[in-house]
Amino acid sequence: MEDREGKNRNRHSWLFLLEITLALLILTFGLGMIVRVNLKADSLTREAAALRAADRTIENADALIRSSESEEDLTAAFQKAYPECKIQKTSGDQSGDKSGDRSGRIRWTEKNSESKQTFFTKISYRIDGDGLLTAHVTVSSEKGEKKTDSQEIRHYLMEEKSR
Amino acid sequence: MKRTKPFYLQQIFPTLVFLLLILLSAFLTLYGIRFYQKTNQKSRSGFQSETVEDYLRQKVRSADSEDGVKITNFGDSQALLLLNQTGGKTYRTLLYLDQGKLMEIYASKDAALSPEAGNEIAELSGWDLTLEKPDLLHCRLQRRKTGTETIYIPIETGGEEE
Repeated sequence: MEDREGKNRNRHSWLFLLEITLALLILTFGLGMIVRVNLKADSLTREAAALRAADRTIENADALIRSSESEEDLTAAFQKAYPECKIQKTSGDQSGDKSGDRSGRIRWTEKNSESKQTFFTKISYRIDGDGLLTAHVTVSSEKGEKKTDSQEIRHYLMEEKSR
Repeated sequence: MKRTKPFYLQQIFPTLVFLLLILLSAFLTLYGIRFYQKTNQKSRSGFQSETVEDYLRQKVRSADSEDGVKITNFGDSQALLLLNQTGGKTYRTLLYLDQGKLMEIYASKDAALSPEAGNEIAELSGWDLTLEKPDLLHCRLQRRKTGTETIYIPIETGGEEE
């Protein structure tokens, strides 16, 4: 009789343990799924914010380039908008371009408050003899790596043309 | 003879496990809700900032004609006055701030306007508009959640400060 009661108790304990294990497994699976989905959502939101910040930087660079009439005007505009920017000018002879062509590079670092990321912006430009400026703007979230956005901008510098 | 535990003692362990599972499930749900709200808030604030910037750029571009873009004052804030001509009549679009929101009014040039009459575009707590050059508009946009952002908008035909 006692033996039978003991067997019954063992069976109940075994079922109870199985039930608990299943509940914990389901809970762990649910937790894993929720954490995964949330992390993905968070990373997508961060990516969107980074892309928005890079897009804003490119639009601003585009506006500054389009409002410039000469190379001096261009560098002064960037110097005023981004006081910490580094400007490097090279003449055609130095850069290996056609004589009369000029080129240069403008670089700066900016911390975006929305995405809490630091962006590295690099503008490489070339001005040909006709005053056509071709600028390539690249914004990356890590120095020299992980390009976030880039665009080519062309604009005639009227003062350079009349020179 | 083996002594069996009293009934209430036998029930303590399953009850504790049950409570633990309920607590964990509640935590999981609350954590999910909180995270979702945070993500949603971030994406909403991103949408608001993008809307303001794109809207301003688009409006200035479409009003970019001679004397078409001006910086003026309206209500308690600076305003962007955009003029355009349709059928020989001049119409004005005023973009201004009212109670933490970017507002817009479109009316004929001579119509009397009040800040309350505008349509809400997006949330924006403050702005500072200046003409860096006649053909470059500088906007410093202040937002409660994301801080200050600067945008430049080219004005091909040149703007004016009133």
